Amino acid sequence: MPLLTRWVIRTALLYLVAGVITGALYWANTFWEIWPPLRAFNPIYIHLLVVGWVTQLIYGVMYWMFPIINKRNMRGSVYLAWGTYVSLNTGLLLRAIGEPWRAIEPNVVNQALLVLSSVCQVVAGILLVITVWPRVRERAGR
Amino acid sequence: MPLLSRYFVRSSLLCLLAGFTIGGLILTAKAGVVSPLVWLWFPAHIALLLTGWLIQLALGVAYWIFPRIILTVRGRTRWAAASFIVMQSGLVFIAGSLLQIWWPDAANLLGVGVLLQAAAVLLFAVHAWPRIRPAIIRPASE
Repeated sequence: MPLLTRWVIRTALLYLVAGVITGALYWANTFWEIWPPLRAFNPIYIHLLVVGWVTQLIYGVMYWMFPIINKRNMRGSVYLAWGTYVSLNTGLLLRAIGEPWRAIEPNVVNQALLVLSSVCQVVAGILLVITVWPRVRERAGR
Repeated sequence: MPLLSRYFVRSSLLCLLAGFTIGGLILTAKAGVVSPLVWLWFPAHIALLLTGWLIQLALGVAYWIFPRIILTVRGRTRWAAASFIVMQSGLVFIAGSLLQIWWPDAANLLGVGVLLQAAAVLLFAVHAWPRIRPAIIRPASE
């Protein structure tokens, strides 16, 4: 398992834990009114699970298991692959801070966090596609 | 990776790109930077990422990895090919529904799109059913 995949899967596991906890707190608060600000965990808990856990896990496994390009250039540009990881997680973390914060108290700082998060996540999507596309091939190259 | 799997996976990657881009626009709308009209694309955002990205990727990988019927034979391949065609038709309708910002009647296209996606999944299930079986183990002498 390549180094990037180990980082990606470990990070994905952290998002799984974070997503399940924030989701549980959100739903518990829906039923029992524990603390009103917990309402702000929706929809971030969904994105922690769908982007941080599922999509990131898929990316890590694709990077590891999809057919290699060739033996000299097995998985394509390492910089692009790490760029995907950094961009995806920066975007998601900025969102995890900015989105609940803006739901409680909208201001210029959390507005900027959301815009920056949006840019990072779209860039992550582009980099992911560029990284994986050449690996969608009939068989491993020689 | 067989041709049909490559088509499924590439289409799923394009859906990821489109879904992330629309999601990014919705997030910037939440920040008050982009017109709130982009919220009309929210159902398409979900359909693109849930069915277009995650389910379509799963179908593509399943077609590749599931045990074959006899050696190189994947069984009811026409059903899987039909599934791909119907899935892409659904995605075209979903893409068409994005026009609803300028042409409100286009919202109806989303309903047709998701029904076609459901039909595609059904067609794929017919293909995959006989392949859910123990793997064929070839003797080492072959």
